[in-house]
Amino acid sequence: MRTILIILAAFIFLPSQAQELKLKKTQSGVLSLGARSSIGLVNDGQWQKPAFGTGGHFRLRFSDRVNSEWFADHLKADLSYYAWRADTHIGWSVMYYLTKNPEPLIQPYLLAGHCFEYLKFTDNKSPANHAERWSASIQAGIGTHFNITKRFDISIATQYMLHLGTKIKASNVEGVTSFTKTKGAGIHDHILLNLSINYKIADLW
Amino acid sequence: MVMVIALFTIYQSVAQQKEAFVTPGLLKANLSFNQSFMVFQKSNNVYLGGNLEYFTSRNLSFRGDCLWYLDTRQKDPVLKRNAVVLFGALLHLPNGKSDFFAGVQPGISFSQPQPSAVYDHSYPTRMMPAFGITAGYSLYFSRFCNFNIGINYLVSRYRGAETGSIKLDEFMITGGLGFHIVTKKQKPEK
Repeated sequence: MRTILIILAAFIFLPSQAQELKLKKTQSGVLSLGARSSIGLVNDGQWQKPAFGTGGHFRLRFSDRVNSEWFADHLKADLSYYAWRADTHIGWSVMYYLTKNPEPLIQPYLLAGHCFEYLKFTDNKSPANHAERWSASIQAGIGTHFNITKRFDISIATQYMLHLGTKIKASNVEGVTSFTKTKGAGIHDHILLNLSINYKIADLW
Repeated sequence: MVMVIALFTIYQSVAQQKEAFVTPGLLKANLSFNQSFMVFQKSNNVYLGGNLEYFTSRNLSFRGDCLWYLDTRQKDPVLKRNAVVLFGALLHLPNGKSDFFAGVQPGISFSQPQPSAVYDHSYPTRMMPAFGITAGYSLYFSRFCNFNIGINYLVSRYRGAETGSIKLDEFMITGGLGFHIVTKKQKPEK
């Protein structure tokens, strides 16, 4: 019964979304949903292998020129040949549009924000041998929307992320992998590239 | 090749009929087999694939795909288990009964490679990020049914093998019979 109700609700909801989005005033209050693929480029000793990930986000626009993006990403990468790492990002960014026109075909923007990261290193040969940490970060970058329709855009963005958290070092000596955490907080940085598809679902105010 | 020529001939014959099958609110479902060719491994796999697609306008749809690994054509398979879930947007060029489309689909895969011959070590099933690029053609030959063909490039990596990651990229071909219904009444033209 519950499944039937969900399907019926979807049938009622989806057709309403096929209509043009009627703005109440300006672009402020426009809510959109997006799915994204990410590539993480790290330049830090053993962590140099690129990471590949999937995620999602929603955007809530504050004005014609200011938008916000609330995201979650999950990336995985090799750690040399003997271990691998998984990064989970959850955070938010504010985007400032560089064009006055609120809906141009190409809409470049600057972005900056905060993020929390859960990082886990795992030994390839022994999954029980792992190390993990939480970190906080700031990020900034540039991006652009390609507004394909009034409600749909494809976006690309690149951002520099600076993480503050416990540093984990990995080593492999004579086939034995070990992870060590340094005392205190350390800094590591990386570039995050995103390709996303986005659809405006409502104008909230 | 024969299939492409046949579809092109059909396309030519029906292109002048301007009955619009692709409309906002169109809901499509499809279940078929996918033949895959692994790009970095010597393995050709077969998947059971299904998708559900909804058109928000004539030129834009959102589609979710599920792929379930069935078997391989090789003696020594690379994969033991694999399931892929993708969700993304497709852009369409509808013309009467014909519709060409292309799009991108981020997603995830649940992959388990076969035990390696070198280490004789079984791998756990792991959730991995995936990304698909898809393109294809649909022919709407009746009110509720369509023929379709499609190609898909799927990017995926299995992390944590003994010597690093295993590249599981696959090029896929699919086709078959699909079903569709219009969930939204069209406004009469003024």
